[in-house]
Amino acid sequence: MTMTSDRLIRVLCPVAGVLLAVAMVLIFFWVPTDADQGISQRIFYLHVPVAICSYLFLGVGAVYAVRYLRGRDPLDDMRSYVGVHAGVTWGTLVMLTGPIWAKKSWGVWWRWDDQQLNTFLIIFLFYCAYFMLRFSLDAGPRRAALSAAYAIFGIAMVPLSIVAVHLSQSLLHPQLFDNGSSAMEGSMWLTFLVSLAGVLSLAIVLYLVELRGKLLAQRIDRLVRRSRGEELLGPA
Amino acid sequence: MIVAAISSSALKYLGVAFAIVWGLTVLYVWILAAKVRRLEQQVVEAERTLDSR
Repeated sequence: MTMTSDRLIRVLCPVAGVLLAVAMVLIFFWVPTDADQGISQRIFYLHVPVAICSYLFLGVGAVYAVRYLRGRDPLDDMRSYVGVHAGVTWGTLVMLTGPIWAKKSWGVWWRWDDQQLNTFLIIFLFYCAYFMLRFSLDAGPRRAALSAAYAIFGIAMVPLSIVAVHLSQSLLHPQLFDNGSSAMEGSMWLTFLVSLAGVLSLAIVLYLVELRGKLLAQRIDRLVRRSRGEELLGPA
Repeated sequence: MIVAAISSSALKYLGVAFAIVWGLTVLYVWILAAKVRRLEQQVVEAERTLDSR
């Protein structure tokens, strides 16, 4: 870990805390209630930023996967793995907040005829299987290369999920962004942006902390092997 | 006004949903921080063991 990422963690931690606290106050006490969906729409201010984070970190995982395949640097493999892990972790929150919103808005936890929901579910399950692939192989260049290829393949499905709601004929999924102009008023946008900034800051901190943990685990492994007098085989 | 708003069942539902989500997030952060702290201690101990040889 570099000094830059340590400093970034120290700066972003309080920033995330303050932004999220402000976002909660805005969500519960300031932002007007949506005329169409009522109070339950307020979960949008958490659900959408969390979904954006999930997509973003799956993207980070794919970018580092490409870098790994080009440079074969084990650190890029680790960054890719942590990116996918962060994407799936935030994806779990999407899978939790989505049905909570759906139950209040539609009266059901899930709709199998909604393209957005089902596409996200497929992406989520696809990336869950990434871990099965990764941990079924021995650590080394082969595992890193196969994991990278899998992460790159999966990211191709993300744009599908993003446009699915616009292609959907059923128009069941709540649509809060129109083409060209916003369907939300200024205070709703502000609340959304504060919440997004808070969740993003937290997500970056968690990504860096997790990466730090993985690198520390590798360092311990190397130290243990050195203490046993074993040959250094390089990071797993 | 706030008390009246909180007594609304829709807001209670939303509050519980947010509490569950943030509870899980805080738990995850706590577990991750504890893990990194433990690993940092292990690195220090492993380096000390190697130096003492």
